[in-house]
Amino acid sequence: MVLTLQNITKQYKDKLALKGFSLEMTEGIYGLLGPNGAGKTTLMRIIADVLRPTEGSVRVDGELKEGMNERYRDLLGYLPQELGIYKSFTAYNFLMYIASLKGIEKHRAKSKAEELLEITGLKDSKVRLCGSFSGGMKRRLGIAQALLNDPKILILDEPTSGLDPKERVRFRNLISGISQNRIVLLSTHIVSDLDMIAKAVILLREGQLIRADAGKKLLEELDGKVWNVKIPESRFVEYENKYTIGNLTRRDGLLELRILSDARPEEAACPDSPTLEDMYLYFFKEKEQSGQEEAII
Amino acid sequence: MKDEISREEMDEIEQMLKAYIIPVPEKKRIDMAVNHVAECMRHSNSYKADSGIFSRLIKVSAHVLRYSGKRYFLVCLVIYAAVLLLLRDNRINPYTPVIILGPVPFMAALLDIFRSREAGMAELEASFKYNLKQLMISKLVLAAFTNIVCNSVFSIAILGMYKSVNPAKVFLFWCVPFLFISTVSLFITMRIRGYYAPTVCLGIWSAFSVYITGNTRVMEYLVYRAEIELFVLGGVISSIFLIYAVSCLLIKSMERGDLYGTDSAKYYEAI
Repeated sequence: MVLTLQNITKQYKDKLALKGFSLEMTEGIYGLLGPNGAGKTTLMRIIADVLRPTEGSVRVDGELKEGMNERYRDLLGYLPQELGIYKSFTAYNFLMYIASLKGIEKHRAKSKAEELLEITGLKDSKVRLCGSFSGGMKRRLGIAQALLNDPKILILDEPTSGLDPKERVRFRNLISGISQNRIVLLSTHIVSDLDMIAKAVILLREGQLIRADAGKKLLEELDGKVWNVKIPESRFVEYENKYTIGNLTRRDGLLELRILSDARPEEAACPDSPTLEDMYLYFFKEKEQSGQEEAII
Repeated sequence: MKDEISREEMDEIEQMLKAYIIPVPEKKRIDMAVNHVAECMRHSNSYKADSGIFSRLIKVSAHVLRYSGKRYFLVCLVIYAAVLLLLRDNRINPYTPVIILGPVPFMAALLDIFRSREAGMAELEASFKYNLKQLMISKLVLAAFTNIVCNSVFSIAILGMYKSVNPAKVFLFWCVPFLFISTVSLFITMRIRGYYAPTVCLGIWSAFSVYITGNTRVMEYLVYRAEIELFVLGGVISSIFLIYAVSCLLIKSMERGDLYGTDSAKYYEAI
């Protein structure tokens, strides 16, 4: 299956949220990264058929989504950034309700709902009212509803927000396991969520596609640009003004900095292997320096 | 007459046909033509898929009934049954409950029609096979249908209990408030978020209708002196407004956020 986004532009009243975004996606996991206001949610809403683009088209195997209509929505699984839940429904009834709107037969819906409650660790809370769920449980229920129809295109807008580390690992494994025969587009602020599982990373800034490539390839661009350096605390401001700083740890009265720099910052600096966190800082460093970046890394 | 074409004639025909050279188009142009035809075919397919609107309406309505209809129907049934019981002692003007109850089932259904918005489910429901627009159409149709059935049955019961009532007036006394008050309530609920909007509308209507029907002079005018044509005119005008209100609601659900500036979430609050 090929999902083609061609020249997607979205103009709101006074803001251009997406500018000529074009990309072709095949089966696998795509991680969508970008600072707040980059247009990630707008892009996902357009693919989820919830928002119309001002310009451009979305095609599946060459067929326009507008022409496919219900057939297109039948391929979708969507988890919005902010998911409301009917509080008076039990988890099981909520999934059955969604299954009904997705046009899934009752018999299949029952077995699928049971299976997904098990997978998402909600089996014991099957008959509990959704209104009594914690944020993490609601998120897991949201993930379960997105998978109900075995979607060929799975769109997850910040799926791991509100999940604890154990749940995040479980979610990563789940997504990785099901990604073989479907397109998964996953937006996140938690860069480490994409480690190991993403086939490609899409970098979006101010509505424009900066880069879309395999994480490994993007990391190659940072080879020789990541340094570890130990400095006395008194020199921190000087380094902060001069370099993009990743991690900072205090050890033995010294500050250990992880620096992104094209050139070796000083003789004693040791080169290190780049990570996706470094990549995020590298591509969005201008914003980072202006103090607008809000990624959790 | 000669059956066979001679060699000379064949050469002559070949020479003549050479004048009609059809240039072979570039591959790019052939591909464009194929794509264009394929697009037309898709449109015709999607037209076929959309042609079963009625069956889809039934499917989505069945879904609505299964998940949110039972309590609503039970409440409607209890209210109408209770009023009929009250009417048995013949001390209440039969037109009074007809007017008061006229738009009540539809107004009560507004709580459910806008439930997706209030629960923050509108965005998710817009992405489903049977999407938010279809869900809202089904709910609106069901609410109107229930309102009409409840009032029709109630009217028949009243006509059976009171031989002196005018059937046309009984019909118009619930029909006009149903059309007019439902439209006003729909407009208000579309614009004001929160479960309290339909509840407040219901409260205002109850207070107003009780006041009107409690006023002897007004009731005398409505029952004995007002022309039926006046009610018919009111009904027609209200119908036009109701159609307009429903169109506004559906256009919003089709335009999906485009009306609400940069924060598309506001759109889902608005529908």
